[in-house]
Amino acid sequence: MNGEPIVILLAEDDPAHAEIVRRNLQNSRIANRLMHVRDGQEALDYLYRRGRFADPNESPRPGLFLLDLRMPKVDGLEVLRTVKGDKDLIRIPVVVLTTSAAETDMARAYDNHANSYLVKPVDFGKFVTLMETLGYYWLVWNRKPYAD
Amino acid sequence: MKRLTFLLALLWMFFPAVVTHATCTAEAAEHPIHAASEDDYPPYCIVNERGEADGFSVELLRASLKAMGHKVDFRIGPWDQVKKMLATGEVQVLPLVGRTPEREPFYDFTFPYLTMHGTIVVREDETGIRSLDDLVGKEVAVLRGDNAEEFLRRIKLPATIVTTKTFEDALRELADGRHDAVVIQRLVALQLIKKAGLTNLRMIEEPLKDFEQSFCFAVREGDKRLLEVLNEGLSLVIANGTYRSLHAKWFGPIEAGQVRRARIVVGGDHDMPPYEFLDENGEPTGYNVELTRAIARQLGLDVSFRLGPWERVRTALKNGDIDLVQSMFYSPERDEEFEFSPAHAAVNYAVVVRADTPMPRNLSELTGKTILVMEGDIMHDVARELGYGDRLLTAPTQEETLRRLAAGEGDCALTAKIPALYWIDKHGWDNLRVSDHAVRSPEMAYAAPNGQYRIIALFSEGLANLKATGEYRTLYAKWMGAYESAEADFHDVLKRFLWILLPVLLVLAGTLLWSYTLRQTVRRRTLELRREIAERRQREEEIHAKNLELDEKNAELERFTYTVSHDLKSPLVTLKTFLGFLESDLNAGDADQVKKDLGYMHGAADKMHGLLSDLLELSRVGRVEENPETLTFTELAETARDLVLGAIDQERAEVRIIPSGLTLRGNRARLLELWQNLIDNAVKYRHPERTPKIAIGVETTAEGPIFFVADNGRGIDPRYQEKIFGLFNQLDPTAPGSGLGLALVKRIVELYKGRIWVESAGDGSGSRFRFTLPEVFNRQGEDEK
Repeated sequence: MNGEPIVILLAEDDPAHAEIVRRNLQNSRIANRLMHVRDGQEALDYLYRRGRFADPNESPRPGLFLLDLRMPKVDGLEVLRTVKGDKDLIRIPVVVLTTSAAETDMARAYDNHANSYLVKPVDFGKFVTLMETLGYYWLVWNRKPYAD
Repeated sequence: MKRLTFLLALLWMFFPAVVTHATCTAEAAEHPIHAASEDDYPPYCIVNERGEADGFSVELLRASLKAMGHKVDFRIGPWDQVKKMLATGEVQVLPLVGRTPEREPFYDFTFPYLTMHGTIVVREDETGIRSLDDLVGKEVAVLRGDNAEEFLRRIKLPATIVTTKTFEDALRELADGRHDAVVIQRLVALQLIKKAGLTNLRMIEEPLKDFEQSFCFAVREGDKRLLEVLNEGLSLVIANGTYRSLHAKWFGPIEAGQVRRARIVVGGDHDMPPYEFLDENGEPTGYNVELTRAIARQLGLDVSFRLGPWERVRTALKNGDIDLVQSMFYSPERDEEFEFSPAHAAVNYAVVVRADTPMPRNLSELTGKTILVMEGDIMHDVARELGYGDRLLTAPTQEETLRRLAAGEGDCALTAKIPALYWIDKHGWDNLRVSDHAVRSPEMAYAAPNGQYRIIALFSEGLANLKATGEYRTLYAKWMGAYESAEADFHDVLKRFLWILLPVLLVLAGTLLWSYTLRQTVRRRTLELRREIAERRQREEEIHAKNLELDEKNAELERFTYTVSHDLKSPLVTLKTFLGFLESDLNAGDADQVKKDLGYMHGAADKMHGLLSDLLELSRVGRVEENPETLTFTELAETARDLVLGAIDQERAEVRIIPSGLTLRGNRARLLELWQNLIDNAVKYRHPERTPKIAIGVETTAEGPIFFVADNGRGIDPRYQEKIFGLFNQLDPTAPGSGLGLALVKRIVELYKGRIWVESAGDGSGSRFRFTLPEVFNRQGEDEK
């Protein structure tokens, strides 16, 4: 693929799950740059370029935001509400990636304009396929909202 | 009593007449009513020459029933047979029964149509018997079963009572020298003595006032229908004059025979309105005059009046110029001198004074005063008796005494009240005042000189008859009505309209009672309803509280399932996924990667274990607590600290327990867990650069004791201070533990009805967890039992 690698922001408090995502994306043939934050507060700091993300080079605008719902400090839903309520951030495709299949979570996510809602499969093969498909869909087929 | 009877008569006259008259008349003609009459009770019940029942009572019964459209036939027999006939139902009515208490159970009586007084008949030469009291120890003959016998037995007269078959027998036997006396109805005696020609008998002068006979028709007890007919008929014959003509027919000749057929001269005062006085034309008039005329008319007598100054009238009576006086006041002294009839009026005497002198309250206050009285008046006697004789001024009339008092003579006058008011008003003697109270109320009666008992007896009977017929009442009301108090007028009106008022009042009373009970019922129901509503409201509140609790439980359950679905699933995902990676890494022979994979898997498995044991722990909290113990705060805190000793040593933390004598009552393990978790957290979230210092104590505040666990650790950002107590909310994912600790703490605190909160300025400033446990103090008392 040509040009800059796509920036993927991953908000995930479980290091093991972050590792799973990282490995799957690595294995795919899509050029990407994974930015991992460990909770909702860090995610907002990244997006608003605060603290250690103050340098814009350290916090490029993501082409895809993978968001876990249940996180310490500020949870995923709160982050989603903030992003979708900010006209500068609203176009960022937010894909909720969570272990929760609870209907209430799903409903709340869509109500807050999540672009997609994915449940982490317990089966290894399925998880790999999900990540592959996810990559192709959002990173290849999907048109990015930002020119830069 | 008699007025009431009269009233009842009126009631019967108007009230049931409408109903009974129509129904009774039709069947009456075919079925004559059977009566039984005595054969020898003149002039009430006798047998005439044709062998038929006759007499005043017989004719009165016949007339009364005729007025109601009934015929009547009579059987004849002596009293005890007649009585039996009614008892067996052979006849339905008796024309002549004296009403006595003894007879009430066996008969129903009409209102009395005649009231008579009894007398004692003795032999001419008898001197020892003058009254009832003189009969003690004597032998007294009476008709068997007569009122007289009942009367003697009722007063328990200690005399030998001999009964005879008829009164004539009794009288004959007395005349023959047997027995000492006969007690009998006066008129009957007169008649029988005359008929039998018993010349050696006489009646005592004083009438037996207690032996008063009220004659009625009588039916068998319970025969209300015939009783109604009789009462109504009786009322009709009294009203239409039949009664009076029958009375004159049967009683007139007898009595007339007893006195001179000549005109009777009646005397009285000429100036005592409204009792007796001369009108503008000089004609006698007033209550007494009309009363005398009515008696004369009833008895067929011829009377003329001679009214004059009282003293002169009295003299004329003594001289025999007049036969009797219609207005003599009775007194025991005068009784020695005169024959008296029963009273026909009571006259109130008052004290009259001039307006400028005080009003004496009674006669004894008249000492030293000059008193004006009428010559020969009852008050003249009274004043003399009281010892005022030497200070008396007399005048020929009461009017004159007042004239002289008004003119300034004397200090006071004693006169009849009503006439006094009349004269004062008439002459305009404004300077006179009449006392409100009566100083004497002598009774006015007919009087004749001693020995003239026959004429008095005649007028007594006449008076009794007028009372029985109601004419007396009418006369009295006509003359005295205007002078009687308003209360009396009201009574009069009330009684007259009682027959209208009574049913109205009954209906009213009924309505009131009904409405009262209704109101009571409504009140009771309202109370019940109110109580029910209160109970329901309380139940609703309880339900509401339960619902809130349930909502809370539901929310907790939701959080729990969420936790299970998310947090428990999370390490499972990790395990499965890394198993997959492990497989490919093994195939690739990447030993480093395999090691990493295994590390993640270990971590996930540990995390799962921690979660599961914490969940188990949490589920225990809130279950029914067993074995509450009393613990001191210090001991509890020290034990909790010792449980965390490993971590404390490892982090080289300094733990200070501020001693307190406070005792708590609760589950030991649960309370230990509470402090243990807080101490553990304080150690775990230490500041990386500072030596951990932890303080454990209790403060006494107005709201009760507040416990605290304070540290100098990392602190908690105010934004997250609420969140930390939620299930599985771990601020630091890298820190050990499952995020259940504070949720567990909160639950234990809430179990003891307390609350927990954290105070911290945020990053690096340390934390102070504070909490209350009200329930551990409430339970203190249980220990002492």
